[in-house]
Amino acid sequence: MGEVEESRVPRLKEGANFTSLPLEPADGYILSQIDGRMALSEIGLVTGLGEERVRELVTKLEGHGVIEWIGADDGAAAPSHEPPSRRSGKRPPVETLPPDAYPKSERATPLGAKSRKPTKAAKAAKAAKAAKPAEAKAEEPKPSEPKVPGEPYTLSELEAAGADLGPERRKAILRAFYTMDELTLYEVLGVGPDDEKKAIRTAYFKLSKQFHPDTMYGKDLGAFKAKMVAVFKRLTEAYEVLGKKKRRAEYDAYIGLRLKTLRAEQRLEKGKAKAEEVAKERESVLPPAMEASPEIPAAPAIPSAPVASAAPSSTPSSTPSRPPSPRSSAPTRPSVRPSQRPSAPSTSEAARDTKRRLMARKLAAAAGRKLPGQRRSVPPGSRSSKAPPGASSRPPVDRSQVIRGLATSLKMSAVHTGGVDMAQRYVAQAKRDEEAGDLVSAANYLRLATALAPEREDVSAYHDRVAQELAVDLADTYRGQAAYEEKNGKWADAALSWGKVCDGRPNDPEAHWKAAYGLLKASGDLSRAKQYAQRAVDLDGSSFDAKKTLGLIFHGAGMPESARRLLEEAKALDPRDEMVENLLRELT
Amino acid sequence: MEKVIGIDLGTFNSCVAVLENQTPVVIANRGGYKVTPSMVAITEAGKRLVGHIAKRQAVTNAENTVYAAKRLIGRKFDSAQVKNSMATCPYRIVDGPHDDCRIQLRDKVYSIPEISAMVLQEMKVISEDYLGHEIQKAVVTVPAYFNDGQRQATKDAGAIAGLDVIRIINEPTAAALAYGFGKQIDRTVAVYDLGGGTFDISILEISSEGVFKVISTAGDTFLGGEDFDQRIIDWLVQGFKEEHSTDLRQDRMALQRLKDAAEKAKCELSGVTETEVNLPFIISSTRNEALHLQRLLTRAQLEELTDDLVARTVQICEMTLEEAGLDKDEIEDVIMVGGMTRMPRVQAAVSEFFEREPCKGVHPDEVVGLGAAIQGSALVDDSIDMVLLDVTPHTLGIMVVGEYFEELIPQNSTVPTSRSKEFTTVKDNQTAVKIIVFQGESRRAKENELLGEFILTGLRRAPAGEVTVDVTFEINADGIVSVFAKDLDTGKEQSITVTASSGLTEDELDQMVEEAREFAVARRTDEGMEEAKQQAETLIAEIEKLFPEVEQVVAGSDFGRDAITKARSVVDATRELMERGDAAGLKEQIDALSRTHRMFKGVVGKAG
Repeated sequence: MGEVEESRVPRLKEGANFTSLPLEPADGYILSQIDGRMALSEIGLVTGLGEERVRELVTKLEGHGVIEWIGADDGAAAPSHEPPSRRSGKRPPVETLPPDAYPKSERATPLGAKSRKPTKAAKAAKAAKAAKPAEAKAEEPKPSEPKVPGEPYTLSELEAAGADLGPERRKAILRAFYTMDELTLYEVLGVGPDDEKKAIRTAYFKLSKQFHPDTMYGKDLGAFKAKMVAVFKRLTEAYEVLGKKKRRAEYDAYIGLRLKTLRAEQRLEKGKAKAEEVAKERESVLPPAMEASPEIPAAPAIPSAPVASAAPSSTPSSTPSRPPSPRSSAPTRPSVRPSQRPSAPSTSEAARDTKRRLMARKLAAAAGRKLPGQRRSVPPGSRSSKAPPGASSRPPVDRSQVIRGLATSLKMSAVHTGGVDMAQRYVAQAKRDEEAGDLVSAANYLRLATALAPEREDVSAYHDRVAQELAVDLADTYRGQAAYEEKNGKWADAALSWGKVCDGRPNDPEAHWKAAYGLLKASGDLSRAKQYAQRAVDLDGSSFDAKKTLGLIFHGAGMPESARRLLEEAKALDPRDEMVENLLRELT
Repeated sequence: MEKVIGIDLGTFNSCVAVLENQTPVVIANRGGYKVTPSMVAITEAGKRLVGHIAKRQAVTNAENTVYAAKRLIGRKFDSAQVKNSMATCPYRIVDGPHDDCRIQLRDKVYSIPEISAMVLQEMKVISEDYLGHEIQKAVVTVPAYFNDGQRQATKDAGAIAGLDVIRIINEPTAAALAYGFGKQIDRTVAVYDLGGGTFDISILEISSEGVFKVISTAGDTFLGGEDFDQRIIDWLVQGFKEEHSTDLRQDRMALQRLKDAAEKAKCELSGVTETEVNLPFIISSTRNEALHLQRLLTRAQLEELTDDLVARTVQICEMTLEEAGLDKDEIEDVIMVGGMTRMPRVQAAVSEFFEREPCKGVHPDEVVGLGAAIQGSALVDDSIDMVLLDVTPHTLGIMVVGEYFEELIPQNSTVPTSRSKEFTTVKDNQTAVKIIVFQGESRRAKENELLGEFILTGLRRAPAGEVTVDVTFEINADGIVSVFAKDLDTGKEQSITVTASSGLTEDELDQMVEEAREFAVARRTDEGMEEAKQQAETLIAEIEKLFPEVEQVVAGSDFGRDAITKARSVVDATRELMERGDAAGLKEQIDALSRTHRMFKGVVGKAG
């Protein structure tokens, strides 16, 4: 992953000839989105393909010599948005994984060092937890007190009693204390994922000398002592895992699995959001708008971005599946009455908001400059349709209604006639993805196709089949994840993972009783646990574990009669289990 | 900077060290020995003897001489270990008031911490003599496998001796500190510590940054040099029985001599390949003939007799490595600690197992004390750039329904550490939960050591399982265990700082500290006359023995009567001086006493 790509954005080279390139629809699709404003992550968000896939495609395009990179702020409309992200970097990646989901490739800053950005704002809960047994408790900052600028702590914390600590040490302790929980174990120690044990050991030892309470034996540390101890514990946790070959391999495998499922879930989530939007868009332009006249200007409130962005038709692709250009398919259903458009969904998610803002900005930008595509064989309709001048703000009334009417009608035609056709194209793409083993992408395309053509039963059946296959595939990944979580006593996580396994393998008794057991251990939702366990018992009446788990759940839920019945059944299956034996004795 | 001494309180020998100019040095006792026997005796006159002097008179005062008290410290009277000691030790082990065991010496019963305190006090005095000022703080070592109760009892012993034990550290850890201190090395090492009474193995990482991290530690508190001795004793007893049909075990005096001979033979066999055990007049036969024990013991025989003991240590090493998640070839050095590691078979077994020659650079008897001194100084002295990351040697947890032991902090967790778990009520309308804290590795709570218990009350009335109690265990850097329980509904909290029962109540401890303090004061003025008193007692005994004979020889002569009267007055005056504790007077008086003694002997000699 190049540094360049992180801080720069791709732009189409002026005068590049696309028509002769051996491009595929996906390439064209991306090409149509590159506007010299959006970073890869944003393009990933807008297209629903995800940053990684976009990077792949852009790299390919770059190889053809049609892409150049410019600084993020070179463009007229520099991005000023902040998509919801845990990191506060200028250009957060689209894949907003929890930071501990995967190791960063670059070397992280060790705990307590200044360069780490303050992250979460309020952490009173965590502070209270860490300080629980310690004297620190009384000195917890009031939640309302502002943080020291650029730091994760408040002034009163920094200046709290602890006479024997110098200001730098105080700062280091507070910084470490407030950032450590969000970091991967690699980041906690400030090492890279490829570092050898020796480097990890050295890092741990160096940090230990900073945070082990013995280094300040007999000194007045006030509330800092508890924080030092908390930091040291976290350091030790990281070292205990990364310092041991086996545990490190397990951890790496685990975060690999987590990354896989997380990415899949996120891609699916985006695919879903996009499909929903497409469906909404589709509804909004269909029949109710019939009586509208083309002369009525289209309301710009919600740019038709999803439609446009979903339309690879704007690409200079040379593949035969290239859809008919909107221009050739004259508007049959010419217009829409803006007043009848549904208002923006009140439940719009942050991601979608972001997308809108991005699109608006993009449109504004497109309006203000010459589109490179216009010089080439790109059908102007698709571009202009989403880029009417001033589309992102209320258009001046004196604007030529004819132009706007034309734009609107072009857009609608793309939505409708292109829609069905697009659905077909998506199905084709899904088939290719499925063959290539990318079930997530296949499922996303099929979902889009279903949204565009809900009447096509074959498509939805196909979607359901792929979705099921994907769930099974993910289930196996989740199973591995759950095993690690169980082993490390992360019962709440394990319960979640097993729940996912159950989604993919609804007939797997083990997954069900384990999901139940995880919930039980994590003091989670007992009624949910009961459902899982009951299902496990229904699936396999001869499973001792299933019955025992259900029995334990009944017991935990204060249902001694049911508990006894289940435990007795369990005992009949395996009379050797002492726990069952003891519980039964207690219940009778 | 206040000096902190390091004390290796061993089963059989103790050693004290201090850091001087960043270099740890062992302090020799008055006799010039670097180690002092961990032995305590009470003489017929009620005098307390500690160290070499106690050892020297052990044969004749076996019942009132305590050795290996460390094996009893922090143990329950009805434990197997105490029963075992009762069977083999000549001193009287009695039932204490708090299930603990105590030792009766003459007419007084002593707690084990009190006995250990006498040794610690001796070490304190040795260091004070050397340093020329008073010492208040110490780091004391214990076997890695000591549990909380044993550690607490050791701390209590320190308190009784007038020492603030600022940290208890494990013996193998201390050895590693001494090995790596100031060396700027990065290494993973194993410490194989086979001492007189215990076996410990620890794996540590040493870094050039001055950090020592214990990775894993294990051991056996009942496997040590004494077990090797016991094998030799058994072999001698068995052989004697076959030859003379007499069981030497019946005679305590004989047993004590056997013990000494066995130990001596064992030590000799580290240097030579065969040795003769020669104990003339060891016992009288039923026909009142004197019987002698004379047998040749070869190194090969000894190795055969103790083969399983050595094998056991190797087995524990293997387990520990596995626990640490390390391969043998990841161990970069092996440090040998404890007198038993001088045995060639032990060295061979260790190098065979680790596939490398053990490190020769450390003195097995002194290295632990040196390490303790280093840790003590590192804590109080900022200029010493070293930190020890120690582990908790045992699993901590609480008892849950079904009398199971629910683990909270696993063994070998680096301290400070803490863990929380949630527990629920088991009965409807249960308004209180009892948190019973155990330490150990057994799944059954009661097979582990009980550390303490407390009750969290005032829970909300609710069906079973609905009330959640959050239990947190915390071990701080000092190894002190705290347990917190919190009712998550009401926010009610209860906590205890677990002070494992050392067998002493706080009142008892206070009283003992007080007594020991008085004793320490008495002792200091006494110091000079200790030897004089011993000498005087011996002379008086000899003179008294000669009185009847001398009276007979000189009877009738005026000179004789005068001499006898004079002798009597000298003896009486000496006794008076001894009672008064007048050291200077007594020293002068000894001259007179010696003259009398010489004269008596002369008289008897002439007559004979």
